[in-house]
Amino acid sequence: MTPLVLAFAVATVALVATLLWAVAARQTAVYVTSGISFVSWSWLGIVGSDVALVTETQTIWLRPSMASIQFVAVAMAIVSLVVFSLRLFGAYPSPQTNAAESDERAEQQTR
Amino acid sequence: MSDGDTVAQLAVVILLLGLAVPGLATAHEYAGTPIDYEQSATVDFASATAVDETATVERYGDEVSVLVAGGGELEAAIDYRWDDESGEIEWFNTTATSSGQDVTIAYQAHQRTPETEMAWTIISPFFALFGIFGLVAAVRTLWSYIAEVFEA
Repeated sequence: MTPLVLAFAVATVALVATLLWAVAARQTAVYVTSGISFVSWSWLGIVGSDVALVTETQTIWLRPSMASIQFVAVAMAIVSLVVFSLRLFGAYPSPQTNAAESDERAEQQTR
Repeated sequence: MSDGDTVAQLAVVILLLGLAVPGLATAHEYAGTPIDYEQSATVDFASATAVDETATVERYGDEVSVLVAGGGELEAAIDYRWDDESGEIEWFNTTATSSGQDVTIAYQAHQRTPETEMAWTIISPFFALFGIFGLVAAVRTLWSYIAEVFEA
């Protein structure tokens, strides 16, 4: 696995995890998905430069592109951590959404 | 999973604490891209010569080349010994070397880029928050258990 392939794999994990807490947000799942997205975005932010230079092709556009991606990754890591904190204090998803989800699930179980 | 599943919440917080911090710290420790340097130096049999680049170095390249002023190259392991851990060259007294001889050292340092340092500077202070997260999750779990005992 080349560094570039590894970076794409981690980026995919980060994007999927981010989509899950942003779109399919469900209570405790938000902990897991925002935690995973924090770790993966942080990893991309920290090792992005390595990926750009260690790749075999040494493509010139790759380094500045990865530098830009590093800034975005750091920002996304912070957003993920904010979401994790909000979930811990019961603010995301909102208490109303939580209650609605719990009721919905309870109804499904009783059917 | 209900919102009252505090054990699951505590488990997730502990996992994040247990895996993220050492994982990201290791990623930062080993982050380094190879950058080529050259510097002038003087052969000194009495003391080793340290290379100039020491900032944000993850490690040095396995080999260096030492070019003699006026042409020619010194031979590794015969005329000098390169320590890729400390970044120092120990000089040996041979027919090719002489004390005070001007040389040029070409070496490679695996260094963290400014972007990587920036990312680490921003992200690492947040690790301190994980302790607060763990404490909050632990207190909630304990509180939940106590409430269950009193309800029973």
